[in-house]
Amino acid sequence: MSKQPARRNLTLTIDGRQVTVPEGTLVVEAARQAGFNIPVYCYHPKMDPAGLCRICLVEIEKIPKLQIACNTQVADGMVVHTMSPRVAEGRRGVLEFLLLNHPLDCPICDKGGECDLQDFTMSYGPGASRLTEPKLHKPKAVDLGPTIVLDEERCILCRRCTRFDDEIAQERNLVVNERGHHSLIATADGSDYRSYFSGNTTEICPVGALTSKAYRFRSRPWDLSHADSVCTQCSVGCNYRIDSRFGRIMRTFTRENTAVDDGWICDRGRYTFNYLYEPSRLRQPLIKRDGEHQPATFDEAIAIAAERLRTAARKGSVGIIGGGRLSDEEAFALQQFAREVLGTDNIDHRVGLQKYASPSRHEARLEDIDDASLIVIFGAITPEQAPILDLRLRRAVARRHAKLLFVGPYKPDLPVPCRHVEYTPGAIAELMEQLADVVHHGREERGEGFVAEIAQELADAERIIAVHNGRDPGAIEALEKLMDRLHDYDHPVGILVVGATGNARGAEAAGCVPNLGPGYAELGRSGMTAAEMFAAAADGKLDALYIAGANPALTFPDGELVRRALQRVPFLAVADQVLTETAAYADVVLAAASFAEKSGHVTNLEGRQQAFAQAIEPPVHVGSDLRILAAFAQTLGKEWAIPDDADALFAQLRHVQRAARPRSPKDPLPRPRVDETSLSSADQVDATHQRFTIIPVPRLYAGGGASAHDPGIAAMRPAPFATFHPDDAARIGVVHGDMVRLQGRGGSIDVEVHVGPQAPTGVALVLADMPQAPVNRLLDASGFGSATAIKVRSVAAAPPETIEVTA
Amino acid sequence: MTPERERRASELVARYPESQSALIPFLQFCQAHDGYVTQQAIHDAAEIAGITPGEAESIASFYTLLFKEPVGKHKIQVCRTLSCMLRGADELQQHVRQRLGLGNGESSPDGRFYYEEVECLAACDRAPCLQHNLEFHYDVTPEDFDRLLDEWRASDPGVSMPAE
Repeated sequence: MSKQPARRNLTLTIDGRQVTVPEGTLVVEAARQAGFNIPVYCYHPKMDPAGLCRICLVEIEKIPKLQIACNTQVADGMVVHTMSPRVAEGRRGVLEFLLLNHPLDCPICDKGGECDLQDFTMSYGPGASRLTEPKLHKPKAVDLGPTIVLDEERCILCRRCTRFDDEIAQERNLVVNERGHHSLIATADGSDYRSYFSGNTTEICPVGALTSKAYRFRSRPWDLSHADSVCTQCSVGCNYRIDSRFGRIMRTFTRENTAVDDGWICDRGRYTFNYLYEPSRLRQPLIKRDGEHQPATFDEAIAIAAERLRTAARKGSVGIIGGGRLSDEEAFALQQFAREVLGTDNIDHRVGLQKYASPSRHEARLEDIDDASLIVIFGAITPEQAPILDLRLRRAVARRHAKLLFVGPYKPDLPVPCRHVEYTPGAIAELMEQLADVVHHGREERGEGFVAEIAQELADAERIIAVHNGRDPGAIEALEKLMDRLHDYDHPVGILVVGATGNARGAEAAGCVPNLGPGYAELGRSGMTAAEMFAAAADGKLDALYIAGANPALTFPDGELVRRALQRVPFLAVADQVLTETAAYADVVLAAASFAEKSGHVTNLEGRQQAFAQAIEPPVHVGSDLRILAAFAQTLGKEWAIPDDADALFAQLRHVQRAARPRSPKDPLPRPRVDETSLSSADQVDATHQRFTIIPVPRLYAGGGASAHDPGIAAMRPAPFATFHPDDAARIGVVHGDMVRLQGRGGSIDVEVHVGPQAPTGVALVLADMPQAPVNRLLDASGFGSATAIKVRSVAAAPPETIEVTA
Repeated sequence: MTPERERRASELVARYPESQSALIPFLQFCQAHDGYVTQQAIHDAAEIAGITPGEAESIASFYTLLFKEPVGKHKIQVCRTLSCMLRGADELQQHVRQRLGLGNGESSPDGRFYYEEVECLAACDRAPCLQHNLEFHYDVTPEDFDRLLDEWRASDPGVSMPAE
C-alpha cells in the first residue's frame, strides 16, 4: 500500500559468505540473515539505531577504522569481517569500558543467566579489569514507580528503555539525566514512571538495571518452566510465555508475534497473575446454605447445580450467560450445553455494552494499521481497552504521519496528535449516514463545513481503517455502509472491533448468542439476550441462571436490573476464579481454572485463532469450564457431543467455524440479535443544575473479579473518579480531589472529583467497573445514565494524615 | 507562567525555526531571575518547547551551567582538566576550598558563594583558569584569588547569572 519506490538488492560478503539484502539494510541485520550474530546492546530491531554502546564493532574492508554494524548501511560489494582479531580486540576494549563501573553483582542480580553483559563478557570480554581506582557509585534499588526498580550502577546507558518510551510508547517520560559517566535513567523530578507498557523495559534492558517488582528476587531464569500462552486480558490476544517454577507462576514474558503484538505486552497482561495465589482465589466450590457460602467438593457442587438446572430446563426456564472469558472450545461447549443438553437458546456472552464483536464485512487485520493513512476510531477507547493495538496506532501516527480521527463523546488521553470529533453517542449513526451520502455524491457536491471536511479526509485517504467498540448497532450499520461506499470508490478499507472481553469474538463465533449457532449459523429462532434474561429473572419469570466467567453485576449497563435479577432468580450458579460481585449472589459457585491452568484456543479481535498451552496445574477442586460442563452433562445423563480429546474438539470447532469469516458487502455475516434499547438517552437528558449525563469511562486497571484481587496491579488501580468540565465543577462548587455522591436510578456511588476539559459540559465521565463504586448503578440499558452530584467531602476538609509517633 | 516569562517565551520561540531551540535560552532567563532552574521553569520550558517535563529536565541536567538547586550568588568554578592541573590548578583549588570553607559543589550557608571544580574551560593557553559568574580569570595564582575574593566580598551580584 505504501508508495515507497522498490528498493534495490545489494550483495555483500560477510565472513566469506555472500548475502543479498535490500538497499538500506543495516550491516547487523544483513549479518543476522547470513547467520552471524553480532553482539548488540543499544541496537534493537524495533527501534531506530542509536550507535551508543559500540559493542557491535565490525571490520569493513577499505574503511580504516572499525565500524558499528548497527548504524552502518550495507553497500554493494562490501566485505565485512565480524570475527577478525581486530574486531575481537575492539569488543574487548568496549567491554572493559562498559564494565568499568559495573558492580559485578551477578550472583544477586535477577538478570543473571539471561544477561547480555554477562554473556558477551564471557564470549568476548577481558578476564579482568585494569581499573585500580574505586568504582563510581550510583543509586541502587531506585523505586522508579509502581512496577519497576532501577539499579543505576548496573546500567550501561544503552538507552533502550528511554528510546522505547520515546519511539514505541511515544510517552517520553523516561529520560537520561546528567551526562557522561554521571548519566542516570530518570523521570521528571523523580516522579513515578507510570506507563501501561513499563514492563517491556525490563525485558529489553540488556543488563540487570531495570527489574520488575513482580519478579525481583523470585527465581533464576534457568529454574523456570515455560509455556507458550496468549494473554486474554483484552481482545488483542498478545502472545506471551508463562514462566513458572514448582507449579507457581513467576513471571510472563513476551513471545513476539509481529502480526499481533509486535513483540510487546502491556502491564495489565504482564502482571495479572498473582491473584491466583491470594486467599480470595476460589480453590473449591461454594454452596450457599442458610445464606452463607460453605466450601464444597467439585462433585457435590456439580450434583446440586445439575439437578436445579435440569428442573428449570424441563420448564424451559433457564438461561446461560458467558463465553467471552472462556476459550473457544469452552464457549463452543457452553452453547452446546445450552442448546443440546438444556434445550434452550437463552445464551448470551454479552454482559457489557458491546453488541457485536466482529465486523460483518470489510474485516481488517491488526497489521493493516501499519499501512493505513487514515485511522478512524468510533467510541473505542483504545489506550485503555486495547493497549497494544494502541501502540500500533501511535506508531502509524507518529512515525508515518497517518491521520487519526477520534469520534466519540470525549477525547481519550493519547500521546500522539489526534483530531477529536465530539459526537453524542446517539448521533454517531447520523454523522456516518451524512458522510456516506457526501462520499457517494462526489467531490463537487461535498460543499463546506464539518461533514464535508471529514468526507474530504476520507476521500483523500489511501487506506482507511475504522476501529469501533461494537456498541451502537445503528452507528455500526451506518459505518459499514460508509465503508461500502468508500470501497466502491476503490479505497481499501478495513474494520476492527475492539472486544469487550478477551474472547468476545471467539464466543460470538462459537455461537454464544441467542440467534446464531457456531460459525454464525442462522438458527431462524432466537432465545433471550442477556438483557432479556435479566428482565425475565427480575420479574420472576426465569427459574435458573448459569453464569460462566462473567460478572454482569459489575459490567452490565443496567446494574439495578441485574441486582434484582440475581436476587430474585430461584437458582443461580456461577463459575469463576474469584468470588466476583456476581458470584456473591450465587447458590452454587464453581471454582474455575484460569487460562494458565488449561489449554485451548482463543480468538482475538481480528479473528485470529491462537493456541495457548497449559502452564500450571489447577488446585484439585478447581476445574476448567470445559471440565465443569462435561461433568454437568454427565450428571444429567445427556448425550454429550463434546469430545474429551482436545484435538478432536478443536477439529470439530474448526469445522463449524469455517464459515465464520466476515464476507463481502453483498454477503455479510449475520448479526447477533440485539434487544430493543435506545442509545439516544444521552441526548434526551437535559443537564439541569446538578444533574449530569453519566458516561462510563474504561481504564486499563479497572475491573472486578481477578483484577480487583491482584496484588501485582493494586498499586496501579485508579480510585473511582468522575471527571467534570471546569465550568460544571465551578457551577456545583467542587474542586479536584473533592468527593461527590452521584445519585442515579439504581442508587448512589461516591467518587473523587477530577476536573478536565475533556469532559463535555453537563457530563460526568465516571470510571467504569469499580466494585467499590459501580457506575452501572446509575446506568440504564443504553449504557448511559443521569445522576445528581452532591459534594460529600471537600478536599480541603479531608482529615490530615495521621503521623505516627514512636517513643 | 508569569506575564513577563510568557512574553520572553514568545520572543524566544519566534527567534528560532523550531520552538525546541528556545528551551535553553528560556531556562537561562528563568535562572537569571530565580538563581537556579526551578521545577516550575522546567514545566514552563517543556510547555513552550512542546516536549515532556522529563525531556526538558534531561536537557537541562546535561548543562553544568544550569543549576538544579539554589546555589551561592558568587559562582566560582576552577578548571580541573589537564593543562590547568599542570599549571597549578590543584594548588589553586586547595587554596580556594580553604578560603571559602567549601568543598566541590558546595554553597556557603549565607548563600553568597558557590564553589565547583569543572572540566576544561577552553583557556588552556592561560592556565590555570577560574570562572566567576561566567567571567574568565586567567593565570590565577592563590594571591590573585585572595585579591579577587576581597572584591567579590564587597559586591553583591544578586542571584543572577547573566542570561545570555
